[in-house]
Amino acid sequence: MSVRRLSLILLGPLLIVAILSLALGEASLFDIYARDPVLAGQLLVELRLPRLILGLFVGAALGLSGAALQGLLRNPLASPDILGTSAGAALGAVVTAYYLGFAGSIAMAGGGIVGALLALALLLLLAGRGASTTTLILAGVAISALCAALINIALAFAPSPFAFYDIMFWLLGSLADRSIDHVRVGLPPMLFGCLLLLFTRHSLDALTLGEDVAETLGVNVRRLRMQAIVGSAIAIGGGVAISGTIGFVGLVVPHLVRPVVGGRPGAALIPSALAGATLLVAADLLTRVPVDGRTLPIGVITALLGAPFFLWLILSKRGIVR
Amino acid sequence: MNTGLSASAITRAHLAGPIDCVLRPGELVGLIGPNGAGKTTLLRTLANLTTGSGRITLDGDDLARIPGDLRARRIAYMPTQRRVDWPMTVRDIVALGLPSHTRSDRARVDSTLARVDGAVFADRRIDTLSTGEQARVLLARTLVGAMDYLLLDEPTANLDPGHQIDIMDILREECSRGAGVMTSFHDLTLAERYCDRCILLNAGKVIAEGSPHDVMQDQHLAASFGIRRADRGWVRTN
Amino acid sequence: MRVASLGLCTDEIVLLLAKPGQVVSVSFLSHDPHETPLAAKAKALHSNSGRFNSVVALRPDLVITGGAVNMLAREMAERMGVDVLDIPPPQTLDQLRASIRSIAAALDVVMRGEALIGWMDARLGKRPLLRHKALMIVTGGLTPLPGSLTEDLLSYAGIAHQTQPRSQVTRETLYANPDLQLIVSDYRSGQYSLPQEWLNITAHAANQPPVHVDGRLWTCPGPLAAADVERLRRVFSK
Repeated sequence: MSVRRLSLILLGPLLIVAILSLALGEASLFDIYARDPVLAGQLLVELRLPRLILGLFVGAALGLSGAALQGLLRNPLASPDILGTSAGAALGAVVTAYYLGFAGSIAMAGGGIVGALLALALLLLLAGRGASTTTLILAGVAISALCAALINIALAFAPSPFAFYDIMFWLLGSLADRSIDHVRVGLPPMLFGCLLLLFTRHSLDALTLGEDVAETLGVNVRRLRMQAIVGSAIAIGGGVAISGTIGFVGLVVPHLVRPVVGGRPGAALIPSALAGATLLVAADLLTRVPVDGRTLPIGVITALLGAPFFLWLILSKRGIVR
Repeated sequence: MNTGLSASAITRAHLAGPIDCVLRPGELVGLIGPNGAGKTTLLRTLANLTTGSGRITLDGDDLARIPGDLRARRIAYMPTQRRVDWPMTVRDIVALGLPSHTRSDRARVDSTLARVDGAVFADRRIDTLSTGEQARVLLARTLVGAMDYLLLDEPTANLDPGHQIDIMDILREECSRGAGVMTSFHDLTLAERYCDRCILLNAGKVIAEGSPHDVMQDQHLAASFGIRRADRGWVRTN
Repeated sequence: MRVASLGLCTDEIVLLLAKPGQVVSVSFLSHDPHETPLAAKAKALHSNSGRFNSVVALRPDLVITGGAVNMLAREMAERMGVDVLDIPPPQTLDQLRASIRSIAAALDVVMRGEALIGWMDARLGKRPLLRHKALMIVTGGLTPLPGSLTEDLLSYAGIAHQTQPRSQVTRETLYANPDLQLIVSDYRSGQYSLPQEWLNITAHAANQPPVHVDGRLWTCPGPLAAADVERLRRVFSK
């Protein structure tokens, strides 16, 4: 299927979940509208719209980074969460907010981007180029574990005892109660990062034949690598600073999309962004359904959906299931 | 005016000392030599994939200074490594050999696939093909752009004798349309039969260069491969 | 008599009641001016971790706990002849009075206990009609639990506390009830955390300017919170 056709098809579900996301919430929009139309408008514009925008772009950033990193590393198990990029971003955000004295969401976004870059650089240093899947995953696991430990230490020693609440409030992934300020801070890096990633889409297809061939096909492999890594770091750094570490979207979405566009890694980018946005907004809708009076963080929901898929992927790579 | 792809006084890792070589339009040059002799390094060097001292020119222009996308329209390179990382369709893979704005040129892709006897699996995923079929697809990817210079690393490896001959015939066709083709071999018979010129490498040095007959003298073969010509094929010298 | 108190809630009452020299140790929280206005009074005292073994070396005669001391520690205290008095956090005003009386009795300062209750009751006055609706929120949207002492105390300021079933509110709930008066706790408001940022944005966005309270008095409300009720009553009647 062509990229354009698939993208048009994906816009349908995207539109549906977007409308549902605006319409459904803790408070009934219709009741409020009946009482006070102005208030309903405010609720829509100041709360639900920012939440929708962030959901769309965080999802798109995750899907796109996953697809681009998989294409770059020529590895189906690459994704920002598996490779430790998200954890690096979270650590960067926490350290900036609590220890460098730059409180506030803007500083967290900046710290997130730096953290994500460092994590990716460390990964490439540890695993090397053209590393095997195992090496890459192991390096990613190590980086994730290290960052998680450092985050816990950082939060435990933060001056405010409420810092520990950050784990539930943000780290496990949440789009709840985000405001237009968060959009202002998070949207520019996510947009810029996504744009950088989109520029890689023609080159990634050629990379499937190896770096040498790609180079002789006119691809500047070094620039491509920089674009994909810096683009992912900026998009993920900005996203994580706003919504925490949301796992599995970046891993799963490209897998669902790529076979539809004939296995081409570059062609999978745009549909991955659209499908990622849809998936995350849908997951965010699920977080609004309270279970026994409590709601689950969005990262828990994506993990519940994504982890079985990850297992299936490993088993199918081992040839146990087809 | 196409004067050829020529290297002068190049030094590279895996090559011993400065090497000169040239690939002229319309000729088929065979690179022979034992494993590790430097055939791949020489091919990669002519494709501008290595760095070092010396000068490589493409029809008189400094190769390294030609922008990558322009270089990509003149020189095609095919490595021995036949890995394709994603299960793309055969047609999509062949199309990668075309300049990006003509990648939708389906007729050209299909006619190239037909040349390598691959029309029947044009719509299949590459990972469902046999090793030999994959090799032919990757060759088609190299041919589809009708480049001026083709640099091929063991294009006949893993192929049955029939398809080896087919491929050598295709490379001769490429030469007759004016392309310069340099290809490495392990099959000396093919090299002898098809090449206009052979370059024999050993331990990073050019041992002999010239017509296949001149190059494949017993003293050269003994010095490089440690073999000599016998009544039926080749035997070890000791 | 040597008394050690292991929790922030009992520390407050002990520090208000004890005669000079009677208290040897209060919890580390009571040494932190971010946690209690009585930190200055605790300054000269030993700071304990809230566990029994952190005061053993002081050889106290009486240890006052918030009820959360494990069996092992209790047995150890018994063997050593240390009295243990459990004062769980009071849930009603009557329980608070009973807690004060128990501690006063244990410290042998019954009259001071009655005086403290009298002082507290004078600040609370008679419960007026509940004419104001308000919600007290702490960082991250945490609110006092249903049926808590806070609700009881606030009623003496004429406030019907709009307790939330999940003891946490979201901004959406607050948007849906724009006329709800917020009582914002300033507990550690100068220290950055995401929940604090949430509170700042939320308080800023409310229709009515929020009423602020010294959050230290309300983390586990005691006599000092009762004194703050008098102030709240004045603020709300304006």
